[in-house]
This record gives sequence, structure tokens and C-alpha cells, in this order.
Amino acid sequence: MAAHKTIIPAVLVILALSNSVFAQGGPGRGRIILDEVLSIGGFDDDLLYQWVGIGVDAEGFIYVTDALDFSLKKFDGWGKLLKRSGRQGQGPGEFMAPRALACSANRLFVTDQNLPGVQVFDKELRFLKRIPLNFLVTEVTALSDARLACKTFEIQPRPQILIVDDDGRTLSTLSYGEPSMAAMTDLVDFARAPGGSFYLAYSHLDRIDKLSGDGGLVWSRSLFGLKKARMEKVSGFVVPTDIVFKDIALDIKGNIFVLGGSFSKNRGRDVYVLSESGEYLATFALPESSHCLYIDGQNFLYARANEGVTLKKYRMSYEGFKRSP
Amino acid sequence: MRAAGIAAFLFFLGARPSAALGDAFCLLVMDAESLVCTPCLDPLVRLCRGLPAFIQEERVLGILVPGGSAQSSDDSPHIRIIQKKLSGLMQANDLRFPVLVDRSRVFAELAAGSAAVVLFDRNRRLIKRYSLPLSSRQQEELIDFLLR
Repeated sequence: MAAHKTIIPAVLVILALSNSVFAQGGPGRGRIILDEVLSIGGFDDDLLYQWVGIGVDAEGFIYVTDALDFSLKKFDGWGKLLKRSGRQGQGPGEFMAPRALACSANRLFVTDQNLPGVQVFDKELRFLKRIPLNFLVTEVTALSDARLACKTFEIQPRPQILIVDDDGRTLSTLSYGEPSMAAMTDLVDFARAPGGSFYLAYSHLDRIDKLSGDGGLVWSRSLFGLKKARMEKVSGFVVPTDIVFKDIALDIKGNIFVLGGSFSKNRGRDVYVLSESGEYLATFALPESSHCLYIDGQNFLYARANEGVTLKKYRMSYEGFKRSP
Repeated sequence: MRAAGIAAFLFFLGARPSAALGDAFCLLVMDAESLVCTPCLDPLVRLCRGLPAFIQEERVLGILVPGGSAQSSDDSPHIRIIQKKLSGLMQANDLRFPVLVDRSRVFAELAAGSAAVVLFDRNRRLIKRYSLPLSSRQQEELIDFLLR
């Protein structure tokens, strides 16, 4: 009788730990190998200083925002700088702190950390218009030339992803999480699948969600077995301080790639791969810590190197995956 | 602080050998981490834009303190990265003062995670230290002193 009092808790502990063991590079089903195919920006050129946002169009042109020289840049598939636009300011085509970038068939959408709304450019980096939103946009995905999905860090009654048109009208909202979430714990990076589903990686929670196109929760996963965010008092506010997940991206087969943060074995480098159903598949490490992860329409992966001075492009080789490109 | 003052003056002379020895000058001591932090850079850039061009060129020396605890060599990746970022910042904001990289981290304590302004008089005595952001009164005080 007494034995089960130790055996059952021990088994439960082992199961709880095994969840995090798998996510930390334990026995996933497959393996992903990166092969660097392009490197843009180095120590002695003036190509990139602190790239932040990235988008790649169907023709393979690479667009980035650069926070240190307040610019939007266009590179060809061989890394040659084709165009640069922007300067510091609040006028059309100017930036105070350019951040996220999204690409549609014919347009580029750029957010600013210090200015509300979204600026719209054509593929030649000519300013077209500003989408008038009355909030700062932290994350944006282009659904078409005239529709965006976007997220703000500003406090809202309920965590939401907003679907807006290019006149700034809210077309619909996708609620997620819980209404009573503590400050900033609702911050997410998200990726949208071609079928309309959204995948969310929480910045300060050990949580990855799949939402249907109408916002219903399909599944929710934890990778590290963490119960809640660690909160600290900063300048009078109680806020979460650990970054659990830094970014999320989808490959062309719908596998989910999540970039880990503070709780990863290799901080800012470990990428966790899940299936569409949320099944853990593999972990691999980027060569250097990155602030973001991007996968283009040809299934190339892009990440940061040299603290933002360099952009790296990798070909991914899959081993042991049921669904690989 | 005296050692820092002597080091500062030697730095200044190294960067501006033609500078009149009788001029007051100031150091802008920056932590390299602030190069990737927009809220940290804003006060620094605002301060510099408020300084007349000739004061930036003749009376200001930037000191950039790299990260880490050990002395970094010239060709270490970290030094090369922060030099690259610094050049981007200077160009984008039309900043004109010379900047030296403090590889020995003599000024690490002054930078203290963001940026500071240290004012020296014409006799190389440390007069005042300001932490950024400066108030308008402090900025006026700084310019007045440098113009004497």
C-alpha cells in the first residue's frame, strides 16, 4: 500500500519532466539540418546595421526593415542591395523605429514601434499610404493586398488579433487566451496557415495555440511544463520578464516552427518543430541567436546573425518526417 | 574618477590633436547595448541634435563601452559589430563627434547600462556628470559651459 504512494507521484514527475525533455532536444521523430545558402551584411559594408523585420516575395526578393538607419531595404536573391528607402521622421515613408514587415502579392506593410498604424509601400519601396490605426502594431501578417492581421501590445479588454482593411477598418477580430490574463502575458507572435488557421506562440507563457479561422481554439500545447509567467515589479508595474517564445513560422507543408527564448537549452537558437496537430516532431538549433524566424514560400529559413548586422538564409533538409517538403 | 579623467583627456587629445588645450569638453559615454535599444538611443540622439555642429565637432568625444568584462581585441567580432552599428547610427542621425571604443572598459561604470555625459573644464577637471535623459535645463547648462 505504501509503495504506490511513492510510485505514482514518481511516475507523474517523470511524465511531467518528459514533456520538457522532449522539447529540449530529446527524442523527437525527425531531424532538420540547415545549410547556409546566403549571407547578407558583414562588418565592413553598409548593407545592414540592425535588421528587424523581413519579408520575401514570390520572386525571391528580400525586404527588410533596419532600425539603426531607419530604412526599408530590398535585396535580390543573391544578396545584392537593390533599393533603400526611408529616413528618420514621422512623415510619409519615414520611420521612428521600423519594426515588423509583411509582404503581399504587390505590397509591403511596415509597422513602427513608435508610430501607430501601418505604412504601405509598393515593391519598389515607394510609399503608397498609411493605414490609419489608433494603436501601435507589434505583429502583422498580410492576408492580401488590402487585408492584414495585426496585433498590438496595448492593453485591450480581451486579447485579440484584428483583421483590418487598408483603410484601417476592423473587419473581424479573433479572440484568444483568457479575458483575465495578467498584463503583457497575452503578447503573441502568430503565423497564418493558407487554410485560414492561426498559430500563436506566447512571448511570456509556455503556450502555443492553434486557432481556427473564426477564432475557436483547436489545441493548446506547452513545451516546457511551465505553469505561469514569472512576474517582476519594474518601475511600479508588475510585468513578465522572461521571453518563452520569440517567434513562430510555418513551413510549406504546414509544420510549425517556434523559436525558443529564455527557457531553451540554447537561448534564442533552439527551434521547436510541431505538426499541424501540435505533435512535437523535432528540435534544432540555429547557428546564432536570433530575434525572429522566417520561412519563405520556397521553404528557405531566414534568421539573424552577428547581432543584427547579418541576415542568413538556409536550406532545410528534413530527416524522418512524415510530411516534409 | 581621477583615473577616468586622465584617460578621458588622453582620449580626447588622441581624437582631436588640434583641439585647444584651454577648451572645456565633454564625454558622451555610451554602453554598446544601447545601440540596439531605441528608447535608450532617443535621449542620446536628442541631446546631440541640440548641440551646435561646431560643439559636436570640437568639444565632444564619444566613448563607446563594449559589452563583456574582459578587454576586447580590435578584431573581435563584438568590437567589429558595435563599430558597424555605431557608424550606422552616426550616419543616420548626422552625428559629428568622434567616437572611440573603450576596449579596456575604463568607462564601464560611467556608462552603467545606458549613457552619461561627463563635463570637464579647461583645466581637465571633472565638473559634472549627467545621466541621460537630460532635462532642458541640464542641456542648456551643458551648452553654456561648453561655449565658455
